[in-house]
Amino acid sequence: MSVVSLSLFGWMVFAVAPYWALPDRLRAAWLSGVTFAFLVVHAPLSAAILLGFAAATHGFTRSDRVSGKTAFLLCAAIVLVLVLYKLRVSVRFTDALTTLAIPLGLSYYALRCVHYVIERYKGTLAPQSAQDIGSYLFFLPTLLAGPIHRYAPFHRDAARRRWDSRLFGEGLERMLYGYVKIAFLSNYVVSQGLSSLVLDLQASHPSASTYLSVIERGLNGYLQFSGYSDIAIGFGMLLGYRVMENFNWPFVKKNISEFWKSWHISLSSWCRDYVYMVVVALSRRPALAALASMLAIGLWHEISCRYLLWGLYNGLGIVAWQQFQRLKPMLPRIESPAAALALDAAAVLLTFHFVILGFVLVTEPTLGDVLTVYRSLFQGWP
Amino acid sequence: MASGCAVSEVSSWFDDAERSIEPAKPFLVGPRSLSYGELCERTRRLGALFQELGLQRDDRVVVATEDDSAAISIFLALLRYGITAVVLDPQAAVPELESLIGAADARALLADRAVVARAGLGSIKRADAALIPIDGDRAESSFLGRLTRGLRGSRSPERAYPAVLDALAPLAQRPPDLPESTLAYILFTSGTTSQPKGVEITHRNLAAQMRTFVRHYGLGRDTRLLNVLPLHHTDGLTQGVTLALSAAATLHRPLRFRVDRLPALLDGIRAERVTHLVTVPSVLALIANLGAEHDDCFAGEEFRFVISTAAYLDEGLWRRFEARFRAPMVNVYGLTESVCEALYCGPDPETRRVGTIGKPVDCEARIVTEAGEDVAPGETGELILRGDNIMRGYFRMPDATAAVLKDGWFHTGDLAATDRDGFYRIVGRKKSVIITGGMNVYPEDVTSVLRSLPGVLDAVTFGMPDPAWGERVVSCVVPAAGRTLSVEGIAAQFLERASREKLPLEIHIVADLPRGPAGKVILAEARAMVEQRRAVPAEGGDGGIRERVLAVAAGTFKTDLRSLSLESDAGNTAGWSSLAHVEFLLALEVEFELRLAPRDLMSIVSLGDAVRVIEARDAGDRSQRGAA
Repeated sequence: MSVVSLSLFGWMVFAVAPYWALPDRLRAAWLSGVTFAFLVVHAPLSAAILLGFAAATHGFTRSDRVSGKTAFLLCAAIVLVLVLYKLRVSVRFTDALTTLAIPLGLSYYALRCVHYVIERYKGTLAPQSAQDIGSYLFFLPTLLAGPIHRYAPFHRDAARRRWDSRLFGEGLERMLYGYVKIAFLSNYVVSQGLSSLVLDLQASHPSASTYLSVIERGLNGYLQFSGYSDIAIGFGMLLGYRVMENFNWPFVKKNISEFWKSWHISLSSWCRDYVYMVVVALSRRPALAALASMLAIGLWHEISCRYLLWGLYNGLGIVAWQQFQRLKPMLPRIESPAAALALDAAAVLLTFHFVILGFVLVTEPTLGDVLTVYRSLFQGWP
Repeated sequence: MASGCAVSEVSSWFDDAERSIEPAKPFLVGPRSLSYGELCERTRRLGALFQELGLQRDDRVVVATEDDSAAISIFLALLRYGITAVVLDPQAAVPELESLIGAADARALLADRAVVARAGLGSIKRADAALIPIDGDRAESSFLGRLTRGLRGSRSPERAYPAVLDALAPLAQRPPDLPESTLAYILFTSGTTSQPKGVEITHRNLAAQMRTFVRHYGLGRDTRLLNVLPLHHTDGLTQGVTLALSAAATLHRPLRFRVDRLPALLDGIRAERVTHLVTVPSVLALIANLGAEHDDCFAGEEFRFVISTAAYLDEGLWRRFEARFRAPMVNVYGLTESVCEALYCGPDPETRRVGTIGKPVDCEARIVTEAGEDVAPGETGELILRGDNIMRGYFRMPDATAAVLKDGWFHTGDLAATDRDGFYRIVGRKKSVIITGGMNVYPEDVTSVLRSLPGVLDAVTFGMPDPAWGERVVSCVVPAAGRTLSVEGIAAQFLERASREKLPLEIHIVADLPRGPAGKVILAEARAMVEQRRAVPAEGGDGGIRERVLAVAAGTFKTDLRSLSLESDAGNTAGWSSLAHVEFLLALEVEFELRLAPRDLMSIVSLGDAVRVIEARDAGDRSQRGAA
């Protein structure tokens, strides 16, 4: 099921149209019902898994205080299901599973469940009703491609929800931006325009061609995924919710830490709260925690060597930045505004290139191809 | 002034409600909502009940219930039929209820079943008074509740509200016109002393106040008023219930106020399209301390203004609040004796000057010397008020009435001054009442309860300035010889004898009280003693945790200490990166010589969280040391 499809658009209309005509107390139930129906029609296995996750999440966190053991076991079980699907484990009794792709939305709703369980363990959330947890997990706008929104702001939006023509208009506009990013900017301008330039240069300037092709893939990744997020956020607005932002101009950040605060924000902040902080709490070692977080981000995309390498690459980048922060006070202070501006520009370029060179690790099919690209980039210039 | 036999305007509110308001229009929105149609039908049924009980005009009926829907229905029905309502705090301690019910000398009591049992109302009421327990309206709203109504009725041998109304047909006849001298209600302004003061408000007083409110605030049928102040206080009762009825508006009371429910209350402002919020400065201070996610809580295009009532509104808080939330604030001044308000600062530019209580509206105000002469602008004197909104007197207390009502002028006991443009400013108080979080607390009441506790030799109570509460109730307690007291023990015993709102926020156990030659406690010295004790934290106490956490944060995040507060977090603090966050946590462990548990470490996302976690650890360590 693609985010940009007539079928999903039909489901959106079906969800929104009666939503505002219903009394407020029935709206959450309607939306959960439509989301469940959508899953049953398009991904029945995912519907069953999400139902199970929701029941377990509610059932095991009902007491006033959730023990560390309960939280750990519940999170481990949820993550295990996710990992098994990511690995496409083939065991006799689960043969059926191997024929299927990863269940629709599992990567996102599994992390939402873990978030809820850990917040209950931390005590920042009081026990919530089954209906409230259900409306959080069965939320059609973010089901397919995130963002991995959080329970407290979602619940607060539900309490503040009302018909607001301004927000509705904003939502339509935001969805339009998303469609334009995906269909026009990514699929047409970048994929066709830049691609043809890449092809034209391939024979005469192979390194420049490779460089542009790497940039093309980075830009496409950004436009596609931030376009999906725009559609999800806009769809949320149509229903009276302000879903968290997922991107914030990531390619103009001055360091890798800032980049990861503005790229797939909902995932990176999830990893900060539930991987980084857990590792810090257990080890008191920020560098180890940063590496663990970036590995988790990598493996969340796909459990494979290339994503493991990509996570490690970004993790080491952040560790290097952390070490640089410690050295920074010892460096001479730049007083001239022009020099500071030039330094900022250099920092943005460095970060941008660090990121897109990292993308090569996951966009090339084999490690050999990765090396070929790097060789072409660094050796083929006239 | 109108003559005593003029007709009460109050009846017209109900006439309008029945004739020209859509019956389905919500009157009360809360856990158990009431439409105008339901309200009118309910008041007529209650009219039939009052008739059956033989209640006459100016008879008094006590109402004490936690159920807003029941309290409001009964109060308005009493108002409509000219019977005097005496609304009491259902959570009041038993001695307080005994004292107030005794003073009210009521012909009937309608009270929560829990209150009836707790206070033994059957034995303390007047012998000929009817007692009707309230089961609460909430059960009636559920299908199961309606289905089992008959069963519940058969379980209760006595008649209870609301089941008692089922057998009664609503009175078909419109109630006859009432004279405006009819006593609308009595509200007691003090409780635990031997002679509680009941403020008598007539229909004329009430109608005058409502006319002013509706006109001055510009209220109408589109008004949605959010007011969760207690109904046994005038700010909840008149600036909520009767105001909504007289303006044909909707009253929102979605929940019983608790600090942790404040975010939910604010969320409701947007969802329910509230137009006005009526609240007290201490709640405004709490709102101002909430996180940035609440910045837009008053941003709905329909929201008009916040009404701050019942206590002194700090000018800094006022400016901060308006700047942050872009919500205009109307600061009002009044007393239970003036129905509710008398002076208004806003919403109109003619009465608005930030930091003042504005100007009198629909009543007269003067500032006078002890001799009763007017003072010059800028000079301080006692604020006195005259107008149709001033009470008839204190119930059965002619001397107390005469002491404050002189030639039609009510002496407020508040010291005030005007500026050159005629704006009034409160500068002090002649009487000893402490206004804390919008509640009037009489220090004598608190002291009297403290002195009655076992193991207490002596006590004194006074108010001290507090940024959140306006004033805080502070008590010093002297233990009897050979007795050891704990603050927790005193508080627990206090709550058995008096309501929570009177419980001092600070209790200091001291060896002796500073007294003058005549044996009277010197309050200035007692206050200085408290200041000194605050400055020097007790051994092993938690003094300084907040300051130390802020200092650690300032050092770690390389930021100015003055820019940090308990609300500071990664979102609003420069330098608070994920790396700096870890360094901050590690620095806290070093500073406080402890190792935080994973749950604690993961819970800290703001400086307030850090203080809470360390305070909890500190308290845990101290109790462990105590046990050892």
